[in-house]
Amino acid sequence: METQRGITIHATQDGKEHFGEYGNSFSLLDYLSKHTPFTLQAPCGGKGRCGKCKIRIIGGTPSPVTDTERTLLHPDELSAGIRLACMVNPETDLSISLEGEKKVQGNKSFRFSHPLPVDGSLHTLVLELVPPSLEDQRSDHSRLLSALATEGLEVPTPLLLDLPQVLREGKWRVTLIAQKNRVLSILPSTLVEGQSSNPASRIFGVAVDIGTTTVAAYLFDLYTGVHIDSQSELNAQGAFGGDVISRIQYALESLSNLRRLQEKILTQIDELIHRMAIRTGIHPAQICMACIVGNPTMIHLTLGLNPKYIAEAPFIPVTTEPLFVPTHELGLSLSAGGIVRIPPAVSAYVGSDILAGVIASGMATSTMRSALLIDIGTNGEIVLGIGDRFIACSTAAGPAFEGAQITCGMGGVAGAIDGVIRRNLPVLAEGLQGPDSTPCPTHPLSFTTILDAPPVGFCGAGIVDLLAILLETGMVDETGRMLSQEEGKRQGHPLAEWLITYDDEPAFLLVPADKSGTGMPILLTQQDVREIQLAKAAIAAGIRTLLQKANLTFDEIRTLYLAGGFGNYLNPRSAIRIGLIPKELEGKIQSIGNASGLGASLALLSEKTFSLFQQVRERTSYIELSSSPEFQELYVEEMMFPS
Amino acid sequence: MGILEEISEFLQKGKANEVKALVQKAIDEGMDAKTILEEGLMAGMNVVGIKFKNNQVYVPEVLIAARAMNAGIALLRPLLVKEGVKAKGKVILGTVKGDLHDIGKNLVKMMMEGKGLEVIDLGTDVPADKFIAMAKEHNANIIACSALLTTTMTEMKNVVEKAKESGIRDKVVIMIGGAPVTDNYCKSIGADIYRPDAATAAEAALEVCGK
Ligand code: B12
Ligand code: FES
Repeated sequence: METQRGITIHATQDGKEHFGEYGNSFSLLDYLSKHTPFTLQAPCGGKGRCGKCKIRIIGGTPSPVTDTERTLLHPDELSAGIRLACMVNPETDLSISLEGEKKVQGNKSFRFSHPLPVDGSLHTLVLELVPPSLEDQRSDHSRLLSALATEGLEVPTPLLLDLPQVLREGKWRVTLIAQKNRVLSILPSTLVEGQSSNPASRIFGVAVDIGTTTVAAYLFDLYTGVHIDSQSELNAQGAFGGDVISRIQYALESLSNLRRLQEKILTQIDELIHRMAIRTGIHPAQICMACIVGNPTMIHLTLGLNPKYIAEAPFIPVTTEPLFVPTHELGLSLSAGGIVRIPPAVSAYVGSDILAGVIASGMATSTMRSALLIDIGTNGEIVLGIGDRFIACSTAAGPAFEGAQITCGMGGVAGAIDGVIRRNLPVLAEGLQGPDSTPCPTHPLSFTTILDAPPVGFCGAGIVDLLAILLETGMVDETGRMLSQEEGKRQGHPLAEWLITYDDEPAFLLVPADKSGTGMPILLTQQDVREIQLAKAAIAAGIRTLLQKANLTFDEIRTLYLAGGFGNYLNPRSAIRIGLIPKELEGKIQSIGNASGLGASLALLSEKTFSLFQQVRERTSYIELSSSPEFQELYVEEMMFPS
Repeated sequence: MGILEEISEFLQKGKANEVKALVQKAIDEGMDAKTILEEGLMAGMNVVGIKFKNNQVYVPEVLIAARAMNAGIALLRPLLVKEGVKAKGKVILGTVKGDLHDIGKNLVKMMMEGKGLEVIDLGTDVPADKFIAMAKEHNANIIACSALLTTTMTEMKNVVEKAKESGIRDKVVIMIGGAPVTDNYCKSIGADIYRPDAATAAEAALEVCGK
């Protein structure tokens, strides 16, 4: 290959621009992920398998279109200049644009209307210091310590960084926030008093849920437990692969890669916190505490720990213990004396995010009857609670429900189709609008999109809904076979008119090209159905395996808690129709939204809840499905759809 | 419908009991084992393979069909030995070290058996050395490796290297597959054949052994 020296890249996303030297990057994806602040999702980690790392060439000459791109991209996309970033190298200076896909749906269920319980472990102390003079030349530190002499409080060294300004800005009156005997923050009293008459109510904390796909942060008032603000985004590590194994693999290639992943996530968390602080008009030094949950890989990458042995059997993480990390060690711009709480995890694939779900759902404290918790993400984690004990497993369902591996799949962002319903299409006079504003009035199905944006693709909930309808109407049979266009014609069902042939395969067309937000048709192909079969069978088989191991029948299950963004949007009836959730659990399903975020918030506000994580973990046993013959058998059985 | 077509039809539907009964009937009628195998069982499995490749049937149907095929083969085995019918080739198959996924690998095995190849299945978590040792011991035509994790995929490279080191590289064809594997990857590690699915894997294997 020719040397690429001297080539510059001009990239834009969401109106932001970036210029840079291509250097010896090995693909545009590599360049964009390392040298620009832009986010690009690359679920397969740049292996040319997923077809999701799309960019648009605006000017310049890229390397010729590869066979891989010819298979993964539609001819219309290619002619519109769409390429796969992981397959392209520039041959001249290039100008490209990235789709702005960063925005995640506005936390629908995530406004806590009631304050969460706080345990009052924080205390504030207002100190009046004697101002220095030529006669009294004690250092700022000594002055502070002598004023504190009777309190027995410890002042962490990083707080000295801002001490001079804080003392002077506060005119030698400062407010200290402490937990036990550790000072978390020192604030100029003027600042605190300027905001509120009660200084105690101006101290904040942040709960963070780091998902492989989405990162969410919640700002709380630490004294009152009132939820102030929240922010979420797609995980900035998305350019390094959509699943934990791809991220681990990237991290293992070199130490600088591991550092890069750590930096990506820490910068992102910091940005989310900053944004909330600015929006609500508070000073970062007023944020004294954070609590971070996530799957063990995410926690390892956040702490910069080596994730190597998580990826290979027998799957051993560096740590699953609860940790208290000073904020300055992570470079987070909260109060320099602040503490980041990291709750414990169960095992390599069942993390603090899942324990957080167990706690948020109430399963941790209720010992009444048995309940199940499922967090459907790339790794479908399932917990069965029986009395005060828990058994857990992780089913590696894959990212199909997050839209990866699905032709028109996408994450839960603006424009994603998140619900599909059958329309009663009684005789509509020609030219009349249907009962709703579906773009295609003749289509027997209508749909909703996230933020009501023009349809761009499907997120998991939309896929499940559509598939349920296709099964119900016989367009797809119980083995997962989709009728071909000809078979559909013969069958004569109104839906059958929308069966088409796409890439030599049967497909069901939901949104024709001219009605979609991208100018491309939105459809579900035969291959997509196969991918869903693999994913939904993993979840269903995981549930059944746990029940078998515990010798329990479905009758004994009181509630099935569905956690996670997907669980929140999923229509339970559709989930049962496609066999993602066993029919026996009908009527027992309860969506609890981002339970991990709620659990993290609870642990942020209360030490007691934080220690509950440890107790739950001790009462949890982990079932490794890789060595379970029951799972294997159930998995294949569950690939079929219920008839 | 002749009895052989009937065997093939029932096999495609995965009806093990019917297949067994019909194979027995064919044997009793004096048909030779090779014909029953090739024109009944293998013909049926071939149809299943084509449908699988075209996404018309999926994993469960293939597994059930394979179960029916095996029920028939069990009856034929002693007769095939007596008739001196030999397998068309030998394949050493396994999932590489560190990887415990085996559903795809099992499908590859069934499809290859459906083509009349003898498959020595080493199971999962198989170290590179073991592939080589077994290939030597059985004088195999093909080493076929499966991997489902991007992290264990790299183990396939070791298999290629070890085959070179032990001097059998020119005697054995190395075939690789599994969801994260691509043709480019196959080329980059110096393996011989990549196929995206079990049916085409079996076709390619048969072609290799026919040479
Ligand atoms: C089932 C499953 C499991 C089961 C495995 C059961 C079993 N005994 O096989 C269990 C739950 C135990 C499991 C465990 C794990 N899994 Co898993 N698993 C899956 C899942 C859902 C389906 C895999 C499958 O069986 N596919 C069906 C078969 C038929 O397809 P196939 O294997 O690709 O085979 C076809 C072709 O590839 C080809 N082929 C296969 N082999 C060969 C060989 C040759 C020579 C040729 C020519 C062709 C060929 O032919 C086959 C048929 O056409 C996938 C996700 C998904 N939706 O695909 C994840 C997935 C593979 N698992 C994954 C992970 C991370 C794990 C775990 C590490 C984590 C966990 N949460 O437990 C562990 C690791 C265990 C280990 N060390 O191997 C990841 C891998 C990610 C990556 N980047 O590598 C995936 C992709 C899910 C995800 N995105 O997170 N898993
Ligand atoms: S195809 Fe480029 S990241 Fe998957």
